Amino acid sequence: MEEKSKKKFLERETTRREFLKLTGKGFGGAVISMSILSMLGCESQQTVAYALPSGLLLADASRCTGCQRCEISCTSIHDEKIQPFISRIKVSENYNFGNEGPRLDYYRQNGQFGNLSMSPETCKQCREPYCGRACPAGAIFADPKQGNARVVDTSKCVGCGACEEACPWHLPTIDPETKKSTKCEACGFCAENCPTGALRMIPWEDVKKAMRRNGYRFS
Amino acid sequence: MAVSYGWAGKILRVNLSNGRITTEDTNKYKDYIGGMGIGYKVLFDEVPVGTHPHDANNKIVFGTGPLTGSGAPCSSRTNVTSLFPTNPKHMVADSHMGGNFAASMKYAGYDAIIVEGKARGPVWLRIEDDKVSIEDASKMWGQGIYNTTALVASEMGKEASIAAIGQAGENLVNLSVIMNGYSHSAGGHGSILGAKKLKAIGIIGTGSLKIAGKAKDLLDTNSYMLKELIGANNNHVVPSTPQPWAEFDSKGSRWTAQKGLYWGAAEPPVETGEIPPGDITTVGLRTQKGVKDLGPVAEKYTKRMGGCQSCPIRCFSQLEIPQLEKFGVSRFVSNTCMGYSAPNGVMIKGTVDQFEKDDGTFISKTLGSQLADDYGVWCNYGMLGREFKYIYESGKLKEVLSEEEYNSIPFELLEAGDPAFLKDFYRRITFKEGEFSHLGDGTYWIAQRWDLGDDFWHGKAQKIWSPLGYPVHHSNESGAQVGALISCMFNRDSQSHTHQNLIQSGLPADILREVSAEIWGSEEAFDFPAKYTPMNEYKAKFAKWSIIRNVLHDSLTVCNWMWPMMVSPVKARNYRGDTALESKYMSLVTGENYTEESLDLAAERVFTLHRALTVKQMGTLDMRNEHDVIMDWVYDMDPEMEPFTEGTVKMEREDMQTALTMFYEEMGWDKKTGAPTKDTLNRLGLDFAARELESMNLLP
Amino acid sequence: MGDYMDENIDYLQEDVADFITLNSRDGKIVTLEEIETFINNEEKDPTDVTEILESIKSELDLKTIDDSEGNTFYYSGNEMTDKYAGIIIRVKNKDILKLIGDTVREESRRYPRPTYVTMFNLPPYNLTEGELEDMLAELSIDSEYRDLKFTHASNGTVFVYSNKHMSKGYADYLAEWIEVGQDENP
Repeated sequence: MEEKSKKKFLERETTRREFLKLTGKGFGGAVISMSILSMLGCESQQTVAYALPSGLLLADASRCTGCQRCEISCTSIHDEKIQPFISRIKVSENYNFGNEGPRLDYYRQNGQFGNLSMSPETCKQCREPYCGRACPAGAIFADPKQGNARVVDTSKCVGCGACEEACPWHLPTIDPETKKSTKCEACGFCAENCPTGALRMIPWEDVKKAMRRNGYRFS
Repeated sequence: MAVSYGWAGKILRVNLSNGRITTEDTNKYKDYIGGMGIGYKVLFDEVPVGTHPHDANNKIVFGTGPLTGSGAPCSSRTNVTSLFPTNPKHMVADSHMGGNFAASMKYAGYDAIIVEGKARGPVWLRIEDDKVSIEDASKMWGQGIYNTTALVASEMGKEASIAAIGQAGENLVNLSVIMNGYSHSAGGHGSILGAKKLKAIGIIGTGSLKIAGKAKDLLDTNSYMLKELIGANNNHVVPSTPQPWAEFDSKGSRWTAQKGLYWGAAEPPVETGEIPPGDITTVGLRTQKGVKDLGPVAEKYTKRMGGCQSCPIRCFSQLEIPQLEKFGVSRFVSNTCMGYSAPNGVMIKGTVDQFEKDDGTFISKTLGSQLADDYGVWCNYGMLGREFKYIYESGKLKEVLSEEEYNSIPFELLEAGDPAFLKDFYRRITFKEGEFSHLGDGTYWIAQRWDLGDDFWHGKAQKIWSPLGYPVHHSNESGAQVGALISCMFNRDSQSHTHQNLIQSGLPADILREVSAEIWGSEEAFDFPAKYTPMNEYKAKFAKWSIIRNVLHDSLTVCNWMWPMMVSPVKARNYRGDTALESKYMSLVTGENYTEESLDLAAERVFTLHRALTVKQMGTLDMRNEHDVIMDWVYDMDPEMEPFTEGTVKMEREDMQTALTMFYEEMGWDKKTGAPTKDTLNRLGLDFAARELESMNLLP
Repeated sequence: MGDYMDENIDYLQEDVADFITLNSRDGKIVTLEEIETFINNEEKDPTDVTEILESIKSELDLKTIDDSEGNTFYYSGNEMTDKYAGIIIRVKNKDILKLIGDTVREESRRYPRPTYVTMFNLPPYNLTEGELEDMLAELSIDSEYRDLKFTHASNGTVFVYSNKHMSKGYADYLAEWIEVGQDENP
């Protein structure tokens, strides 16, 4: 049993590397070319893709309906409580007035009170993460167990908020209850719980299948 | 303070007369669960009989419960409790709104907000976790709900969740709403805030809802509900067209997802497709509500669906309709159900095509939705349009309006089917312009004011259910005596969807009758639609259970438009739902051992407290003859048909009295009057109510 | 195209399973020939198809159904109900009139409800408007179907019902409720 899951893991990891080679992107490669995405059955221009250990994560704002189940799922699994404020994916804070907040012409801007567009924000897992560079305690590191996602070592985190400040999208958040930074670990659990596929996790097995059927030869 | 699981643990009390802001422990309300339960207890204990809804002595309670914000699906409902302005005796009633507001209250640390007193000038309430302040709202006063929300957000930050009233509420129009999140409105209580000069409440909650059990178990329960139990909007569990995976289908189902049906204005268009059960990641595509509420023309304007925090069923359609700008409103519209159909009901001569074929009612519905929502006008569940139709067509309007006022109303637009009429209509009501605007007072009050007689009250076309001035809302047409009983028990139109969801689930009657037997003891609880049988005890049990679960949901708070899970779309489950799901969530979240029975008992306590409060406010024991009364048309419709024959939903007078008796017995109320007995009040732990009613000579 | 090498057989099973699954999900039943053509088109090595089908049988809940000419069709029970496959076969068998009659009677009896006639334009019935018109005309004169009657709602939608199972008044009420009433009572 253990052997089998190990083999499966290795197979996944191979597909992930092959995929990244094909797309010419490293881990943090956000925008993957449309032709590759359409190979996976994804036609939206608004799609952003991330290669996570467990699969390819696609985020498509045009399918987001603002239900915030991603935030609920994220903090349940990581924090054992429900607390959208510290969710590693942000939907509710942009719900009414988009990323920019209310402006004079709010009725034309993003958000429920504007053009009804949603602005889900996901961690980019930057190659050179601003959050990590800003952390005075060296608490943010690339975790090989998480496919080199940038994660927080809570034993080192001092809760100073430098990561939140430094991130251009302010995605890491200091939990006011624990005084620790909460930051996306690229686990993909949000996607598994998105009821409209605005976040979608395509397992590497399926990516492999799609690549194979589109004539890609694995070395 | 000890950690509180599920409940936030605190209730916020704001007195606008003296500016005092205090908190109190939620514990003392725990027997009432939350939401509606807290609301009734506060109103019973604290608001004197005879108080006018717009008096400083009236209080308004924004209530949530232990499951609100817990991530349990469909759990961001705010239950609003206060005296009800449209009710002839201003008795207590609830209004409800979805959106984000309820969940935000919990994350800020409050199970309820009690607002009392009256501010001297316009104010708004600012809540940032435990920092609470009363702010000057003079800049916002006079603004619509949309601008008000933007103004509050510009002071608090984009993340604030905001409930506000529009000009209708400010102007003390009885038919007015409190709204959050662009279109989630609580109807009938807007003017309470207006009278208190409270324009808006903004909340930022950075805290958490703590769960006693393991998060993993909670997530597994979510997964179980979403994979095996939940259907589409109203928990319809079959698709609306024949589909390969589905044994059953039903044209009226809100499970409208199908091949070739899109959110047509999304970029690129999103196909709803066929959505068999079992996959969490497609549940939200099942209900394409745009075409359901607005017709096929809506498909290409549909950007996405919308809805409430935590709810995977997206029952609001959100559209971009550039043509609406020609009427001076935003091109972006979001609403659902009655929010669309009520304004269309005002267009009593129909609406002609506006910009393309068959778009008449589509434009009326969406334009009217924008107007009513920004002004904050309520429709009394569709009564507003029917009342207008009655006074216009009967000539009453001409009689009660001055000639000058009558001639100032652009009836030529109405007659021509031009939706621009709606702009004039809603403006007059909102700003209380002239005699016409009394349409906004509500059914009972216009009948008094304009001396409307029996043909108004008892005419089938008006669909008035009760002398208390509210209409049919899943009444005799929904489960015969079951729906009829449910519609008699509250002080406004019934908000219970329990029975309606089962009856309309889309499953064939044989399965529904089996399910009924399993829950209520006999297949006889369930009548075939419009093929009614005389009253029996199982229908009384069905009616009681429907109300109890509705009350439970408004106390937990979860959405009774989805819950309880009586049936399922899954064939392997033989389409059976799980009525113990509420208790599973409650036990997990609070760490206390709840069962179906213990929750139902708590809800029975809440509902009986409502009844006791109604007796107290009406000052009479005789609920049977003074409260639980049905208009004649329900008994006299279809004169050529007898009650209990195929094809009519006509009720029978004596049978309905039997139904009341059986229902009172189920509730432990006095068989003769329908008032709660001392024994029942004591059994439910409502001794205080028994004592007070006794002192008022109001115990049977 | 694809590089199968030693994993060849695994991929073939997977691909055939997906072929049947996706067709079933799409409302189509497939013949053995169609499965073989699929394999050939994919330039895969010729293999014993029945062996492959046997190997994926339980995973797919693979089922078969025959038409009146003895052709066998395959579908996945995970994706398609027997009822749906049955309708497809009856359409293939040109057993339309009886199919409509049976469907209407069953709906009148079981739900109970009158059947909106345009349902027969939808998959899996797929009648053209002309075909439907002809069938309904035939229904109304064929003595076999004397119990089938028509009614319509106030919005013009036409329904058909069996008076063995419901009275005219009942059918009228339900038709109006389905089309108009329930939208007025949301």
